[in-house]
Amino acid sequence: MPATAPVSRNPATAPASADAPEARAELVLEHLRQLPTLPHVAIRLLEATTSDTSSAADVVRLIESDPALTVKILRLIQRASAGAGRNVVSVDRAVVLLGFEQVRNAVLSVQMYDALRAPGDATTSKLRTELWKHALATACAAKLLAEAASPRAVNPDEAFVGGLLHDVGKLALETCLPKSYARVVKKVEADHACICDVEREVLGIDHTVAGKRLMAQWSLPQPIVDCAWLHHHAVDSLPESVGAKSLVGIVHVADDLVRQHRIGYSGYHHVGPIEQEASRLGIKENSLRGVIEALPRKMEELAGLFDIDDLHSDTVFLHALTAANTELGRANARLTEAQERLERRSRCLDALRRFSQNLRGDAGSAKVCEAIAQVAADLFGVDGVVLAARGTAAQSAQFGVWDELHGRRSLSLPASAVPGLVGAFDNADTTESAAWRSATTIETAAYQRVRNLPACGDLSVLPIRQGDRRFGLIVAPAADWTHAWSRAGVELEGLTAAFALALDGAAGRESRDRVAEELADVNRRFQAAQADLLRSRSLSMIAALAAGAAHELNNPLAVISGRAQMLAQTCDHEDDLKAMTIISEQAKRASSIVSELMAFARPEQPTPVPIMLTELLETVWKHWVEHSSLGSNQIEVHVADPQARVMADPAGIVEVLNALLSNALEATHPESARIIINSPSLASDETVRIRIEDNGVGMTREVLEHAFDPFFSHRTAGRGRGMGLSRAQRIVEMNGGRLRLESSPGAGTTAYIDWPAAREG
Amino acid sequence: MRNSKTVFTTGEVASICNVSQQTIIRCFDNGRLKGFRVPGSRFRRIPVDALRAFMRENEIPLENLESGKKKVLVVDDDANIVDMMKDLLERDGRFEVRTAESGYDAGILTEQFRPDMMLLDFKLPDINGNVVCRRIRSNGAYQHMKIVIVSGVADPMEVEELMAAGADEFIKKPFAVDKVIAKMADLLALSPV
Repeated sequence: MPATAPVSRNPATAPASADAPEARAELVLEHLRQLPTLPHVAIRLLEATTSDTSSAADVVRLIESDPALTVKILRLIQRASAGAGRNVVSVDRAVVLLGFEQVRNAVLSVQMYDALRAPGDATTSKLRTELWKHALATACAAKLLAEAASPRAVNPDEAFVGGLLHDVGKLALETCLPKSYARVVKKVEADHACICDVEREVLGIDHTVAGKRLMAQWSLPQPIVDCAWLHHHAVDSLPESVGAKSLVGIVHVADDLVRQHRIGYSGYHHVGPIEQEASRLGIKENSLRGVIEALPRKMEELAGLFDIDDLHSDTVFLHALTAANTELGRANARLTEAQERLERRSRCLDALRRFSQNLRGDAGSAKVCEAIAQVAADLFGVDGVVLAARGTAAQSAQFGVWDELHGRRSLSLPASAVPGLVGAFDNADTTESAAWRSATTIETAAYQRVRNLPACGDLSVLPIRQGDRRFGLIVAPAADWTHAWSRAGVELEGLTAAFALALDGAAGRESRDRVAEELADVNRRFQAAQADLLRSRSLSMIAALAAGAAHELNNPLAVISGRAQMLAQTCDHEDDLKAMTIISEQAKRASSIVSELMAFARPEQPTPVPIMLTELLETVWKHWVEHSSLGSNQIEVHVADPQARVMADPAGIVEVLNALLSNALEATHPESARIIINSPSLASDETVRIRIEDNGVGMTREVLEHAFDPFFSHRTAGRGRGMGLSRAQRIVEMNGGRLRLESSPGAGTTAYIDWPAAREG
Repeated sequence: MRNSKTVFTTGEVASICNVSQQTIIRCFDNGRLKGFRVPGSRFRRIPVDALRAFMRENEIPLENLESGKKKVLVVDDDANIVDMMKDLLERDGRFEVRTAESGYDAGILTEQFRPDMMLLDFKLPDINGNVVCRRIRSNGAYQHMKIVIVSGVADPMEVEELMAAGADEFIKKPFAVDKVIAKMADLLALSPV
């Protein structure tokens, strides 16, 4: 069969990357089957190599049967023996001159080269040339190694063939699928990945398997097939079933050696421990060096076999050197990049460590935002950072700010203050990545608003995401560093994920707390409202009762009192007169009880005016010192703020103070009584507090609970009507204040009146 | 009783006003003293209201027209109160007292008795005191009647409302009797006993 038999290249059968790897592998194998079979001459030559029965005469005859081959061989031999000046004109003569093996190897190489040449393709691709160069170099090296091995376990010629054909899979794949294979090579170069892995990824099959299949198809001897299949394996790791372990080992070392010196292209960059492998095969280190030195010359000898011009020893070395240099440069770049990445990573880790150290476990959103802003400013080395997050309240935004001038701070703004920003959180692109990008106008406006800047330069934004949710945005002035961090995808992803978790945690905590607080507040207000409702219901009932009672009771009382007075007018007996007066007065007193009740249930609206607290208390103090059993040293007045003024109905506040003082006085013994009226300074300037403290008997819990109920009195029946405190509380409340008591038995009672303060002016 | 008369002759009017009968007739004829002639005759008759108006207009003291006692109408649905007030005022001697126990009675008596003063309880079975006040004040003939509310109501708002409806004074039950008398005398411009 002619060497240039056409190969079908139906594009429809080209491997599609979307297919499953197995399906793609099958398609590739189909292509391999369509490659031309090895020329008859080559097969016979190979048989001759592996069998001792063949003779030189057979080989010569084989070569001479192919004129084109004969010409090539003669050219090769002429070149190889040019130094000797001998004119070789026949194959027979060449075999005599060069030895049978040399000629045979040359023939085999040529034949193989032709078989795997792109059909109808006059110009050979650069890649293919390089692949061949590698194959040839490996063949030469394998032969030299086999010769150098002690003991010599492998036939050097066999080693040559094994080396020559070890990468036949690559050639085959390149021949069948040049475009796909170009992609493989490109990817190997870009990713510095093992070519076998990339081949499997792109084509579904790697060159060792492809080579094995092809050779089986060509019916080549098993040891040669094993070389192609297992040449990436170290000798020790070869399966037991492999017969020619040493041969495969020699080819393995030769392959590594050639790759180490970058002769031709192989695409597999990992080089194993050559010296160790070589010594296992009985090759000493200095023999290894000799092999390397001899390699270029050997290759030059074979160059004539191919249309490859640059196989002169100098060129080969120069190429190798350039390639090695380029590779070194690349390695260096990779190293620098790796170092940069490592540094970024360690900085990220450091930042996260500081972030978690600075943050308490129960920190709120505001604190978390501040901490992120600070850590980000530190990490990225910028002078100002704004961290925007969703606010805890609906339709609000939370910001953490760090800048060199003010340090860290936080603020919360309603959504309307930063138009579009909060909405963008909900509608953020779910594919948004953890990478720096340019700020939108919305984000720029928010940054200016939060940092209070009239204008600012270009800004960069790093979204803080977790899953498909956006938790925040880091906004900072754009600078060179953003570019440096643009390739730090993994680091930024980790960093922002941690930030997102912290923000989410804080928001979760806050919303949980808020719900609990709201519930408690609602509950409290509900209870208060219920109490108020009950109280106002009983109050309106009392009012209705009092109004009815006032009318009904006052008529008979008026009659009793009126008649008594009339009788008194005409009475001349003194005792009777006195009785009449008592009747009349008691009727009036009974009536006033009804009036009080009425006033309690339906009190007059207060008319508050600003009152100087010191003056008021002074008056009250004077009144009690003058009109009660209290001595001037038994009642004290302290006012922290002499300028304090209350907004009160004058009669009302005096009544409240009198009621409380009266209560205090009744709870104490006249001799030991001590009452302190104190107005401490409060944090709030809207309220004035008046505290009335006594050293009386105090109240039990039960008494305290009912202290404000009308007509409730813990004193013995008949003494007082128990309206004082209830009225006092009514008056305080109607003036917009609060009155409460603290007391326990034996510890005295303290009344707290919180009265609205009078505003300035 | 003279002061219970509602229509006077020119002679009686002359006597009350202490002027000649001719003067009265002249005043009657030129319309300054309002009156009517008995149907079918030429006799002139003068109603008490017209006489009172005439006397006031000409600044003639009303003492001769009145008995000297002030007419007081006590209105209260509580008979005990009514009785007591009647006793009290009559014993004073300066008051002529009529009583009513409902708003309806009070209306009729106001028309007939033409009291100088009404002592009015706020809550009556058929009508409220403030309505009574307003009715009286809206009638021009009773402009000079004094209204004193005497009530057991304790709500200051209601008291205020009553005063706005036209009451002259509020006295809360129970009361000191001498103070009530004093207040009444004051309002009626009575000289002390």
